[in-house]
Amino acid sequence: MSDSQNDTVTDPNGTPPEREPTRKQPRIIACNQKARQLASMVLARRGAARALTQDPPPTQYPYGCTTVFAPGWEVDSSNGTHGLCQPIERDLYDCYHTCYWPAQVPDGVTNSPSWTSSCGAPMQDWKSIDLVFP
Amino acid sequence: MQPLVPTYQSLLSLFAAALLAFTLPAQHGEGATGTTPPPAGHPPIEGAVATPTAPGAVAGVPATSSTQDPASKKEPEKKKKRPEKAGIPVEDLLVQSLCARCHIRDERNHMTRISYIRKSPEGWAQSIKRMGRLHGLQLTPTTAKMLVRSLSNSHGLSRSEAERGLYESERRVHWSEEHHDADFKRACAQCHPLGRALLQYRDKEEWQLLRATHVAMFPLSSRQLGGGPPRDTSSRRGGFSGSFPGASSSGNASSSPSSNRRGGGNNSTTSSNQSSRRSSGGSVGDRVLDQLSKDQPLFTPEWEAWTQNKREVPLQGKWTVHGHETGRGDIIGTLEIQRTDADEYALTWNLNWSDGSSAVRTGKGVLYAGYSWRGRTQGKDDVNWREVLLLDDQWQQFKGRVFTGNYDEIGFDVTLDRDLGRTRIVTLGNASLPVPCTDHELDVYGEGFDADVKVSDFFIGKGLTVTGAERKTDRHVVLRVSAAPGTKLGTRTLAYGPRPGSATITLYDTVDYVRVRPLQGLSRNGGAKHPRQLERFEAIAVHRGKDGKPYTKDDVDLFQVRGKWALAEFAVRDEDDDLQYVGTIDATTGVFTPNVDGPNPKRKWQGNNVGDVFVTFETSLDIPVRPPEKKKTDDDKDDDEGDAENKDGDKVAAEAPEQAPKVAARETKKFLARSHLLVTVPIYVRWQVLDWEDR
Repeated sequence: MSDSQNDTVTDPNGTPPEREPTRKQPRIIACNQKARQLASMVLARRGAARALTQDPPPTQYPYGCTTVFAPGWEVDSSNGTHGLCQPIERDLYDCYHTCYWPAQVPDGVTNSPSWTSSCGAPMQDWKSIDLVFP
Repeated sequence: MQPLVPTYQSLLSLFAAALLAFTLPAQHGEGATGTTPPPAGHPPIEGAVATPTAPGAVAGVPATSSTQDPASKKEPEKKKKRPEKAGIPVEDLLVQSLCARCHIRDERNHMTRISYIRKSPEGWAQSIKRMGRLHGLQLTPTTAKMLVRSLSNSHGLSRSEAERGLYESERRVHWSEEHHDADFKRACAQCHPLGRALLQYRDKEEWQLLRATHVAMFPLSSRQLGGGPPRDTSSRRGGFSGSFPGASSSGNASSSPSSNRRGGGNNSTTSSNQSSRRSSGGSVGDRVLDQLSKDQPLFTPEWEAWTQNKREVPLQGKWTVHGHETGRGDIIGTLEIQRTDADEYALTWNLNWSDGSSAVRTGKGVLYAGYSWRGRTQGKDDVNWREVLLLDDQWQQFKGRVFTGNYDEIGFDVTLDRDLGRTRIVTLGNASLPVPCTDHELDVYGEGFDADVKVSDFFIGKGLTVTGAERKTDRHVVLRVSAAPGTKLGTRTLAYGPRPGSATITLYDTVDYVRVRPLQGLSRNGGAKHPRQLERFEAIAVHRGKDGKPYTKDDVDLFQVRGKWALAEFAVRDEDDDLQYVGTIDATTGVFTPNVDGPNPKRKWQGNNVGDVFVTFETSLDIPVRPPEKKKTDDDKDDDEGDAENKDGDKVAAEAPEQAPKVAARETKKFLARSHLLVTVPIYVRWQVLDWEDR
């Protein structure tokens, strides 16, 4: 789903980064709208965007699961909600198909193979997603 | 992406089928070995033929198959003689007949799987529902109910065993598992409470099969538990390479190739490239299962003692109920239990809250395995309340939780004391007394108070005087108590007649601060499609305790206070806007109602109405002024040392009795307190338990 026009541009405004990345300092590429928005926000402040896995980590916690790894269901790794996948409907079927949260989301492997049949697009039609009582 | 889904699912199904092929032979014993072929069209599963366990082999240890060992061909009779495992016979014809389709019964009435597991009623209900969901077991509600009861009695838990994970049965929202082993939490608690595992007792092979079943049904759980097919082959079959919730690259939660056969126990056939990934003590799953096998075996002294003395416990009669509900205050009342059948009872609750409300509720209950009470009642509000209670060893007291709510979040803790037919004190109300005070009204609840109850019947200790006694009913007396200036602070027990009593009174000099309970709240969006999970808060006045320092562990809760509730932003990022989306709190009652579920178009990225906020509380209290601290002189220090043996650590009011005023000066003081509230997303699957009883 990467944007071919911008997939090599770090700064969405077209401004070249202050320092050219080297092999030891890999560059993070903003490949969708959300990531570009995040990058522009960070660049405005620091001049370079960093991923959470880089050391040292950024002091500001980003929002959404694009840049947060393995959030919890109720809480994220900081015991808050800002690292959760948001909105949850956007990521719900991925949790379902991969059986990622079997205690919180019906699993498509064993117990609820047809859970998604009532709703094909959860972001638009989230009210038709069934609550399951196994 | 949609066309890929069936393909992906089919890969997952193949993965699950392969795991089941690893598992089922062991589940069904030798008689079933080889009776579970791979699904039609499925390629031969490598290792499935060689997997059947040798006689007496522990799950996870590869057996020597007949095709590999020529000697076994010559001695087929020996292979059939599998050493008999110790198990619990299934004597109930209902279980024998309904479960015999899959679970083989031998001449000892041992049935595969069933005879080697003990569980709570909820655990058996889950298993039976799974049999219906996945294996075509069809039961009427009545039959299912009888099945759960039979298995819970014959293959249930003793009292102490049921108590370990009672919070799971009680469906508590607020509990802590911090004290448990880190591996145990990593293996199990990332998906469900540890209580679910604590309420199961199995033999060693069954613990291994528990993992096999988990990995077969939920393949990614191998990241936590280990187990499953070897990594290299599973990846060719569409295995998983992503990370699992909470698994870190540095942790041992990742699937260990050392545990890839039949339930995933350690085995000696691990290839060299796999063994290089082994940690020194095996995988997390291996260690956890080994420990569970030791801590929660099939047979325990407690269980064997209970089975030897098993009988129907007589519960009929009246019980005194006392407890506390968040926000509504203390509870006092009675429960009438009427026996209707073996282990079945009809109930009538009469409850009164300290906020002035009351309720009469009727329903029925069942006592499982001699100790575990499960009941449900209805009242005028037409709302079902459930009860999960545990009987004590002496059969005289129940403790547990009564609850309702969409997520079982509305509830209260209760203690029930059986009426003994003699006068006694059970509990007290309004039991925090300021020092000094005059004619403080102390509620005394119990049974059998005489009509001519006298002041002299009560003894309350040095410095306190009972100045009046008024009998409200034979279960309620109001005492007027005065505390002399300089009375030693701390706790007292109220004695009645010849009995010492155990109900305690707390003496304090002033209120040091106010705290909010719970300190960490949890709520879930709902109202549009999903039900809401509410959260309730209450504020408690606190005394600084024996050490004289506030905010320490020995601080003493005094009484609930009323005031004004509000929400405030818990800022964790720039332009944090949670406050305007998460929901509202009732300024008077402290009940938080979350906002609706679903994406919010008005919010950035259409985020849900989730967030974390502060819950703030503000009140003004008219409290006694603490007398100035007396400066210690050398003589005082000597006195302190001389008194050390006689003191239990309680602080003494600073002024000597003869110097202190008889009535304490008072002041109006403003108190602020706050706690944290997390408002998060709904749960889309509800693993309801014991709903058979509702049908």
